[in-house]
Amino acid sequence: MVTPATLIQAAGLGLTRGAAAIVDEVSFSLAAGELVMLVGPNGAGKSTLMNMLAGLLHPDRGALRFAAADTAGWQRSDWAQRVTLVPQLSPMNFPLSVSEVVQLGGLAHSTSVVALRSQVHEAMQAWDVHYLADRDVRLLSGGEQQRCQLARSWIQVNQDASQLWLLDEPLSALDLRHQQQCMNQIRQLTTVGKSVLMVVHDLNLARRYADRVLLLCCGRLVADGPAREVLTAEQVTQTFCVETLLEGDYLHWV
Amino acid sequence: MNTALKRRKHILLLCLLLPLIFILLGLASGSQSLDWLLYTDVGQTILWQIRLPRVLMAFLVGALLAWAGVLIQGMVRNPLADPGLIGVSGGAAVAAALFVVLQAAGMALPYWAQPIAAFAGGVVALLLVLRLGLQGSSLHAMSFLILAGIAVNVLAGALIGLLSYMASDDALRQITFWSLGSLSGANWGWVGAMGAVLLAAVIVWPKRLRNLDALLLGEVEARSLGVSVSRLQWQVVIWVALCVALAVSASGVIGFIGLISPHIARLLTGAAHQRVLPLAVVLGGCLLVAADMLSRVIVAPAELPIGIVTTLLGAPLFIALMIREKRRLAW
Repeated sequence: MVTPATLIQAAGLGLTRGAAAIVDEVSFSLAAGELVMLVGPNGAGKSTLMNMLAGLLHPDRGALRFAAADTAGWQRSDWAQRVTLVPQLSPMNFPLSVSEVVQLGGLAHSTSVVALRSQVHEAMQAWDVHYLADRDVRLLSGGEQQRCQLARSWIQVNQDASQLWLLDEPLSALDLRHQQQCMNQIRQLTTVGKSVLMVVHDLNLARRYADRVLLLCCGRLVADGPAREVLTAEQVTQTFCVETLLEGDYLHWV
Repeated sequence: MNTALKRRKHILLLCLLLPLIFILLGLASGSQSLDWLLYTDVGQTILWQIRLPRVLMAFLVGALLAWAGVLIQGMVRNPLADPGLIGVSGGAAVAAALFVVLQAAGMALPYWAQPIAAFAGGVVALLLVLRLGLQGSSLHAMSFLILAGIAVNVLAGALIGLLSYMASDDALRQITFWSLGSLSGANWGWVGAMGAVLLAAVIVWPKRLRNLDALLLGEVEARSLGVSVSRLQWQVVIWVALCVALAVSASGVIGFIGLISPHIARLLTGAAHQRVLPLAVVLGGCLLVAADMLSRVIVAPAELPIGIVTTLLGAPLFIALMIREKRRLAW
């Protein structure tokens, strides 16, 4: 078996704000086609790390290599063509329609109008928002909004140049069926060689789907490895300060 | 999709026809009849040297204010933002008031220098706001910028109050008239300057409108879509300052047009800037032409300050829109 190519190589990433180290000495790598989940308590630095990987925040310390290239001189558009970030939901004040929001997924890449139209159609089908196409996004439920944003970023990540999908709590408002749909879409993307790094809080979901888990606590990378080796009852008890038991293959909390 | 396309065509037609209709109406209304204007020599002079530049300037001032309104509302992602928010109109008003007081005190200042002073005041206020609201070289702390703008506006209000207190009766009248807005200073020079700025905006902005759409999603979202947000914010601030300073120096402080035109446009076509911007600009122009007609007709042959008309019409309309919006979003 050939080892897949390394996509991301992060070495000693660090970011300090005031006296607090938000992210401290974080080193890891991501391989092409890998699904990695990022878990950790609130304020562990997960979103900050995601922003660094999307080039939105520059680390004070350490280096980030992307497909063996140094990212130092990259412009905004260079990042957006390679990395697609879906931040946590932010509220909308303006009456854009769902299809208008989804269409913005084509902004980073110079796609023709005709091609974009069919991509929008496809994305709205894939994320089950096609029946909301003309709806004002402010009137959607939280889960519908999340699917709308995911459909938008799905267009961006599906372009040939795009290699990494960063998802910050993509499942937080989704119902069971749409969570499964979301995981299926993610799986399909990893099989064509895109890497996915997502923040989740459902540890059993991480154990079930992740190729690898990164456990972050207080800005430091506490563990990095296969899901079942990282998310043990002891480790979870220690990191989250909640008494945890492993029954069958499921983590339980008292 | 078909109906949406049809609607889009209607809106395009509206954008082309409305300005023509309103400009013709504006030309026709006034104390003298149209016949007299068209068929006598004096009438011709009045038509070409007074009425036409005035109507065109009304349209251009409204259009520039609406343009600035669309940009600033998109930038701060708040549909209730007003182009006066970043302090430009306050600074311009102070400079104009100072000019009037100095003139009344006997300084020999040419009348045409007042708009130039106002423009300079607007730019100084903008620089002050940027200095206060800026962190490093980026405009990321938008709320800080807006707060700085409010602070400068409040300061400007106090300074105008002070100048009014010191002013002679005649100067006070001028200050009041100016701070309530007036199109009586219209001439072809202003029309040319504003037309040039509007033309430049028409050339420069269309390609950036999708970036503004992306900014509506949120700053992080826009950046991850490849938009250089800080550059876009700079462009917005500079254009808003230019549009507002020009409008305010030519015609004084005219409220509500920059706030309400984008609002009506959004109600008609949704928030996508490619449709909102042209419609809002046309609406802004037409609204101000209409307000100018009213201001000349209501108390003819005298005229009401146009800022009073726009505010008297704009404020209730705005409240009505808010109630409508509240009902629509309630569930």
